[in-house]
Amino acid sequence: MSEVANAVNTNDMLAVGNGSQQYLTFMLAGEEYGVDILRVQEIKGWDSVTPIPNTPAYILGVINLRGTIVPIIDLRLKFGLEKLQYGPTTVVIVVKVNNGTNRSRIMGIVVDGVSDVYSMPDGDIKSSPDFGVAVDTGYVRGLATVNNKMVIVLEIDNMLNSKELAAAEAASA
Amino acid sequence: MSIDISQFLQTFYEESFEGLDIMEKELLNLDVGAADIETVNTIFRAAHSIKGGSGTFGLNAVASYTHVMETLLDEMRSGKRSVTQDAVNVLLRSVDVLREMLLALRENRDLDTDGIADSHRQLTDLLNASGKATEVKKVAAVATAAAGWSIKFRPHLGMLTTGNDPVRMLREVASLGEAKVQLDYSTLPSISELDPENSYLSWNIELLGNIEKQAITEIFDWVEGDCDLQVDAIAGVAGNGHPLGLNVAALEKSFNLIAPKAEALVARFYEELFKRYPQVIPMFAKTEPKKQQKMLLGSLQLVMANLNNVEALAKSLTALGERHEKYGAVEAHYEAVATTLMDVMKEFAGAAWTREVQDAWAHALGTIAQVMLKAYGKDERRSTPDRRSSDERRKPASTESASIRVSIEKVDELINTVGELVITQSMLGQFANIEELTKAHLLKLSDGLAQLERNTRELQESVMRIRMMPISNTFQRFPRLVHDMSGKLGKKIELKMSGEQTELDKTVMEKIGDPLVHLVRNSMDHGIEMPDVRKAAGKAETGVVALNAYHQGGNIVIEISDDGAGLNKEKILKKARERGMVREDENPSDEQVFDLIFAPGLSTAEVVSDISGRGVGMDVVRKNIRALGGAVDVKSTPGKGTTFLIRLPLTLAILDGQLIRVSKDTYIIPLVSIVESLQVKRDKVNVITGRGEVYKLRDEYIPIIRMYQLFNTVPDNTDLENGLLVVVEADGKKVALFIDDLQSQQQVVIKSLESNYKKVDGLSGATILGDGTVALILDVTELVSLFNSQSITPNLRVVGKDGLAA
Repeated sequence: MSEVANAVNTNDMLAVGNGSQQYLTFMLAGEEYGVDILRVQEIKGWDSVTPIPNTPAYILGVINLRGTIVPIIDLRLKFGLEKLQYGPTTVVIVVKVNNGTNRSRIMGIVVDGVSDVYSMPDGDIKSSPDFGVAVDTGYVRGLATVNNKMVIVLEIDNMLNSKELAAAEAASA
Repeated sequence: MSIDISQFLQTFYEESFEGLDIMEKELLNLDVGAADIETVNTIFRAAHSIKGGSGTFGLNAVASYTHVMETLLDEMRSGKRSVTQDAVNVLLRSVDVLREMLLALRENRDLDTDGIADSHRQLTDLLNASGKATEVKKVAAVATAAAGWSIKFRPHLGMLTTGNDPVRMLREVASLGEAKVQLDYSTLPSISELDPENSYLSWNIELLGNIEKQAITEIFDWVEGDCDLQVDAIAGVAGNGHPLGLNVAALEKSFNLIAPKAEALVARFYEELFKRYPQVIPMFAKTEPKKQQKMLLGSLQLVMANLNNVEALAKSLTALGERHEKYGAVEAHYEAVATTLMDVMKEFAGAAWTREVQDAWAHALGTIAQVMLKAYGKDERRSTPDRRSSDERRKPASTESASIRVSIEKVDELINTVGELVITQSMLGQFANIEELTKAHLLKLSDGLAQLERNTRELQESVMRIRMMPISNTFQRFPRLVHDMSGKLGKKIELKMSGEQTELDKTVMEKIGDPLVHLVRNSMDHGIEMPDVRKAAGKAETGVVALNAYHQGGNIVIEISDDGAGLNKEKILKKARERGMVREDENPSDEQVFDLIFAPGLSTAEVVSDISGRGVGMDVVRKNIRALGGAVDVKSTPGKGTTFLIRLPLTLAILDGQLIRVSKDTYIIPLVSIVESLQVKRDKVNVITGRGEVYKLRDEYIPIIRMYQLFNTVPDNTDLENGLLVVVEADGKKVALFIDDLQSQQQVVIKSLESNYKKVDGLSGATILGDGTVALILDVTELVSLFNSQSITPNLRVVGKDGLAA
């Protein structure tokens, strides 16, 4: 996994040039989360989805994104948070996920709302403290402080790869 | 004047593969003993085009290899050589080798040089042996073959206008042997007078090696009237008759002269070498200078002692080359060593170092380097990809053929349809200018829309038809397979094919090839008995394997049948019981037993041969066929034979679907799998052991799958009488799906769920409906497996992992 992450970092560094990266942040149950902005393909409003039978609850279903079938994941449900009624401010962030084998997938994640774009030097992202088994921090690249607020930087590849999906499914079955 | 010919390379490959297919087919048709001259001609022509093309593209390995094939075929064609089974077999093998070479070149892989050399040798052996009529000519040819040729090639001014490219010819010359090319540009006019379409240049070529004069003149055959060509034997080199063209006398004389001072010479050599090429010093870091000098001296003396014993020389040089490879020596190093060594020798020999001696040594060291470099096996090959990697990046790997040949008829049809579409469009376009629509307008508008719909459908059909190809493309590999394998197995097998013109989608066809090969192999290996067994059973000694293809509904059906022993039910059952696939007390039907051969890990073959019988295979065959949306069935009669039936969809991109509704969601059932839809009559529903529901449809009991249960959703109602049953057939077994409502039928474009998500059990994909929403396409076969794995009704559960019989 770290190999993938490293490769990604190098790429992004090349793109930004000065060793810092830009992150799109979004709100989820009062906390601010950040994803690498180069992975964000688009942000769209919530629309109805076609549910896929026999899948974990956080996989809401699939949508038609200009002719491609794209799965939609509710991050609240994925993180075990309380489900929120979808409203006009609910947004879907469409991201590109690398699963380590040169293939990338397009997925949509449902969040409470988009917050901001920050530029953060790599050094400012501190690794997250270890919670033991209580909290799985595999999805978290690190924690950063911006304007005295904490931003949780997500490792999107770890969170939404096919192995993860398969494991979740096995657990739910 | 230079044209980038690489753009034609892909076409060349495709045409060459077609040529190879033709060669293979015709070779198999060739009657040994009484060969049809037209057949030989066809084979020859195919070989000739490949040779010509490969020469043009500078694929010298292919060109020189094909050249030998061509010569052999040419002799057959002109009746100088009779067609023997041996020759046919060697030629068939060379077709394989050639195909492999071309594939490797296309994919930028490394050539299997050993295999090529091996086959090349076989061909030359054949060419040299049993020549009969050619024997005399051969001897004469060898006599005239010189150790080298001096070629003077002066194209006339207008040669380029005839489309001949001297570069191609020079390349071909270079492929024959070691060529030194000297350009003579003395006739080149000043730039202001230069006409770019004229050729002013001429060449003097020194070609070294044991080459027939004819081989050289052949290259220039096409430009016979357009150039001055003079081919003379090189007297000096040719005179000594040394197999490698070495000037032994000069070498020995000069070496004897310096031999007394040899030790000083090698010491001086290394000193000079390190001075000139400091980069090689690390390579000698591990050895002591004295020891190294001794080794060089030893090698030199060994070479000198064996100058006339070419075989021994080659052997020791090969060994030497292998060692140098390990030291990390590359081609450039050999040149460095050669020039340094010669200069040092010159220093020691003084006035005795004549021009002749210099040439002799230059040639000898060059030959030595070549022999040593040839010994470079794996490491040399391993290093090549690095050099190539940039090319590879530029050219994406094109493993599956990226283009198709379409008959002009289909294209014309397409153009016609598009023409009609344009007319319809302009008709509908008129309405854009009308300010107020009257009823008459509306009528016309709806007419126009109906026409548009028809045009679209026709267009779609025409486009799909372009992707359709006759299955003969797949079938044509089987005659060869049967020919090769019947020899290997010692069985007499005849292959019968029918329905080769049945068309199916190119993608489907590419993917069905391997499963078909597997099934045909199985039929030959396990199905057909040995000739004596067949005789004893009162059957003809020659067994028959039949391939048949035909359309049935929206499917293509491929039958593979043999008239062999048939499947042994007891043996399969015993094996299955041993593996715990079937319980002891179970007594499955014939069909269920035969179905077990597709289960993983079950092989009834007593001997595992290199052809089949490892117990992997049939399950893979079924998996592959299912992945294509098809199904495979087996029928067998003991003593009479076995038939495999493969049903495949015609295309993978579009299917006729029935839209259904379960709860709030729309799903699509492929129309081909639907048998009928019906409303439930209460009295026809029975419940087995209180749990498994069956519906009595005429005289069959069909299990009911409640879709809402399978999908964990909330339906409109759970009462069977208020919903509908859709009876579907999967792998020959019927089940009834309980749904909420039937909606419309329509053609849908299949989209992959896997590309962004993953495979979902029970679904074969998704599609986008007219309103832009996504609907999921059901995979009936998987639904049944899913039902069986979820089912709470053990009595309805079926033997085997995929649970097919219900």
